[in-house]
Amino acid sequence: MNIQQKQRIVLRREALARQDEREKARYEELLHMSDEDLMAQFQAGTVEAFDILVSRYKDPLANYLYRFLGDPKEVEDLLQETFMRVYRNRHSYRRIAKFSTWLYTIAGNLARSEYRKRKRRRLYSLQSVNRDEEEYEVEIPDETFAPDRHTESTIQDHYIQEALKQIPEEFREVVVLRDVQQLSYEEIAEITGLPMGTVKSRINRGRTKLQALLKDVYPMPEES
Amino acid sequence: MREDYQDSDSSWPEEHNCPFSDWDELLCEYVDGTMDPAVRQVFEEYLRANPAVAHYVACLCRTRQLLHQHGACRLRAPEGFQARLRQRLACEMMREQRILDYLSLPLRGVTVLASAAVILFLVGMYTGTWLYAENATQSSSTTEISSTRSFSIAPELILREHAWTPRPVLPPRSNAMLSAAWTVPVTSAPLGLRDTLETLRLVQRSRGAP
Repeated sequence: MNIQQKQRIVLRREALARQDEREKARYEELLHMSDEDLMAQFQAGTVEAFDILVSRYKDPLANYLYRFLGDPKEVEDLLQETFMRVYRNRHSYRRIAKFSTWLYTIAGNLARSEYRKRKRRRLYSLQSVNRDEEEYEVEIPDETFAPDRHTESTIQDHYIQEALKQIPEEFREVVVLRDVQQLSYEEIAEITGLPMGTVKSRINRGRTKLQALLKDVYPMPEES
Repeated sequence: MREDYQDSDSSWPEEHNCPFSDWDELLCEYVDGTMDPAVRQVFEEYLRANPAVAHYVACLCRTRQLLHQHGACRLRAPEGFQARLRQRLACEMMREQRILDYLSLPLRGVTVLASAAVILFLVGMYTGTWLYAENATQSSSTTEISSTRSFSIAPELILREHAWTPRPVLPPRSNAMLSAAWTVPVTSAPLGLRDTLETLRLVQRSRGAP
């Protein structure tokens, strides 16, 4: 290898290092951007912006979907589908809406349709059991909850999750968005497409139903 | 909101005079702490005067607190989720690219075919129009030519010669030209035409023409 070749290799390495630094700086810059700016970058073709949005929202969305559906096994599928829809419909997003609201609307729509599908499936399996007595449903043990292996907070979590599952879907959605995800009334109204008054009303009714379900589990303050 | 709403499960106080939706909204705002301070003061006075409602509201606050704690023990996205999503995204991008490639190839062919069809149509239309116009003028021009040229040239040669020459632009016909046609010597006109002309002259004279 002659000197010229060595020089060329050194120059190439330096160029690559410079490019790496530039990319890192660009990524750092993206990290400090707002969701809406990141979405604009993504619409312009920067895939890294989408990656940052995913890392920002994957946990809150997973939590929301789990609280809504009550089944951790379905969370990943729906989470992936939510982000894939964001990818496919990236050009339909307009900056007038908050990105988080748009994202929760997509996730909420998916969760609602999944919940309805599951309800239909359950109804169908019950009907088939009634038609043919030989058919039976196999009881699948719920391995997500084992009190002896869980801490008190997990037990509490289980009871609350069970109570959430028992209240009607329209109340559960708003209660989860408000009390678990801690979104504002305005955001909830936008996500669900309901008037503000209805949102507040449903939140209160949902809480009232939950209170009735949880009163045996947790001692409520005594009446004076 | 439905006014007839009744919650059988809840320990709903019955002595309030508010419509249900307004009452729900008030309670929601109070429990969340988003109520207007002035309204809050009045509402708290009301609660002090109604212990049953106050107990109900305290229970609601407790439920909300539980839900907050519940929300705090958050479920995280499954391990390796982002990597799997990236893979799926890569597949989606490739699929999009394939669709674009698939669309671009036939489009190119369709464009070429469409251009060729348009060119052929235009050429055909021009030729057709030209031939049609030529045929329409052929009969009149052959009579004119045969009357003016000498008889030594065969009529089929005249036709062949005339067929590929541009169509002559005829001057607009006027009354003077028509009257000139009446003066065409009867001997030069064909036999059928001569009879017709004579018949026309007779008709014209019977109607008072000179």
